[in-house]
Amino acid sequence: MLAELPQAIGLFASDFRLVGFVCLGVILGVFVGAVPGLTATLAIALLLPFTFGMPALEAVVLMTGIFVGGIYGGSATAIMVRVPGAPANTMTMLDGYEMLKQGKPEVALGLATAASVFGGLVGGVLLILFAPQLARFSLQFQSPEIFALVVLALVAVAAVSQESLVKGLIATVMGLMISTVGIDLAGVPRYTFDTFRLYTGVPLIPLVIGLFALAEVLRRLEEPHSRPKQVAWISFRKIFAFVPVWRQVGWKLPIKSSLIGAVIGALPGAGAAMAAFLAYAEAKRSSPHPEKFGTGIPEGIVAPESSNNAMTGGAFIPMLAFGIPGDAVTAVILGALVIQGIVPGPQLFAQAGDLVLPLMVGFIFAYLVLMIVGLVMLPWFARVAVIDHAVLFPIIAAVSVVAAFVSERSVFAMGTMVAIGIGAWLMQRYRFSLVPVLLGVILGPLLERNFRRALGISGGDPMILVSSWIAVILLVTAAFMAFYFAWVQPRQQRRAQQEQEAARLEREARERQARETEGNTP
Amino acid sequence: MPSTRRFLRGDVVIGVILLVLALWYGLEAQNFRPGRAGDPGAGMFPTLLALLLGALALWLIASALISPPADEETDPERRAQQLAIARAGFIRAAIAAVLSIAFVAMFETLGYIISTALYAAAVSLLFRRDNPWITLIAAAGAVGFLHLLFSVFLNARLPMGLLG
Repeated sequence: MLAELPQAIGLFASDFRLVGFVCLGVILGVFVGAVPGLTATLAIALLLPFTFGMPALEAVVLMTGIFVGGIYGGSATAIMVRVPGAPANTMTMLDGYEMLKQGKPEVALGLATAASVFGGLVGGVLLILFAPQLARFSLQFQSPEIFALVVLALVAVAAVSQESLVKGLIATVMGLMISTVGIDLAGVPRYTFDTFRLYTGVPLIPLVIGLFALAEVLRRLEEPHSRPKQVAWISFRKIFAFVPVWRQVGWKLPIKSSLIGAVIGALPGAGAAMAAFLAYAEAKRSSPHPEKFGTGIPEGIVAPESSNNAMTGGAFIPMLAFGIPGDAVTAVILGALVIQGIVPGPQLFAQAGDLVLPLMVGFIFAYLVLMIVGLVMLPWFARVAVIDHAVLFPIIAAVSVVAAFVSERSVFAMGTMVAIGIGAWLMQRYRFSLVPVLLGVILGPLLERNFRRALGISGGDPMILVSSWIAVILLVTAAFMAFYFAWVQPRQQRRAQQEQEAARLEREARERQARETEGNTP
Repeated sequence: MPSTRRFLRGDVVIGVILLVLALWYGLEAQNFRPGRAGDPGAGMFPTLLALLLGALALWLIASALISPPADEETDPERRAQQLAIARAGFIRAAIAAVLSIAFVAMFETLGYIISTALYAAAVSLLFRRDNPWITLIAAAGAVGFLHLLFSVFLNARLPMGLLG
């Protein structure tokens, strides 16, 4: 497959529409990433009615550009106004904002840009190297293995994306239940309430918009309105001021952080925030001066930014090879591909090989565009954080509802979107994650089809589901994850809380004693 | 945001709702063609999902009842203040949810321009009420953006309603 890489690069370079869509995607992504509350997931969800009518490759590279720009964009506001555009940029804020206070915002922004591009390129190279190999391996999978793989993905996303495993699993089952609406494999209508429009299932575009756009608007309304902050201008002449600082940091830290990010990205459900946190923690642990982290040092920006951007490439690997998304954005991109009639997974490389390599090339190209966009436009992008929510979110709400109408040309789709949006808002309110719902909806048909097919082959014997070593390994891993997140992790967290509480009480007692001693001294 | 104790109470209520949902979903699944060995029917997968949801709902209720109450704000004044903020936020979001339903209901009758302007203005007012210009910009911005996006770029026909 790698032999076809030059051809894919040629195809990409000669198609100005593809190049244009990548650039548009990156700029749009940086914009939504920079506005606190807007995410790449939301932007891609809102764009589904557009991408639905586009050629598959153009749609995918546009979404890839948004993904790449979206992860990076939040670093600008994290540094400039101490408001991370997304949770993934929280760690960048710690040292980035301190650097701004020291009068070096251009260095902080430049470092964030360079680290993001470096991490993204590492993730892209790993994607090109590993995704085809994994896809080739996954061609061995039959119904029991595919069933086990989907179970593992659903459990992993349910476990990692939520603080409570049971709520993550409930959200997953809700998604699976939604996926059973419509005509089943044998032509039996299920849960359609005799409504003709539900025979083809719950429409996916209104569902995604409801889950990730309208629910977000309603959630934002629950928070008290805060006035936008003012942002200082940065001189365009200073955009390369980061280069000498980058040389001091060296290459070891960005490489290590990028590898951490790529691995975390490949794990279903872990996401960019965890990648950034782990890379920051590792950089601090291995640093000769850990006490300086949080005071505005360059390592505190380079580590999380290279990691959360390498995550993007990592997240694409299981999505393309197995049809299992690594995070929320790739879950929505997976949904967009399914809407286009393309099913990622073992057969993708065989059936739509002409799509996969240009997509990977587009991914790398998006990071090269990001380098230019980031350096040239970053001083301005930081200013979008000052857009008033009272203007932004009403527009998003209106676009969400009308986009649902346009996707199906029906008021029924609008109603479906609003109903799902309200349900999703209530779920979030009670700490249910929404990504497992979407994953359940997307992977539900695959799970049921392979479950029924396996039982059909074995004459109803469920032992066929554990008849191969691959299926056993996958199911045991899923069971281990469920056990860990249900039993071990809550106990570890409780113990850590108790220790913190004990330390706090001891400190207070010591301070009280010291005050009393001082008071008794004449 | 609601306090942890209320979440725990809420979790019990949610668990009960989920149990009812699982029961309905499972009973409905019995109406589909039952399967047999070697040919699982349309009802088998939903039945398994209903059982799984029922078990998870019981797990949720049990863990909500067993878990010790988490730390809460001890100062009654501050606690009352937090509750008031949370309640006001919930009411704002609930009103927006009702407005969204009304927007869908009136979309074809009023047409996309009037209904979008009214909807965006109302949602904007839920965010802040101290500056009428902001409300106006939100309403005009929403209509203009929608027109550009859907009518111009996507060439989608949107209902004009009263203006048609």
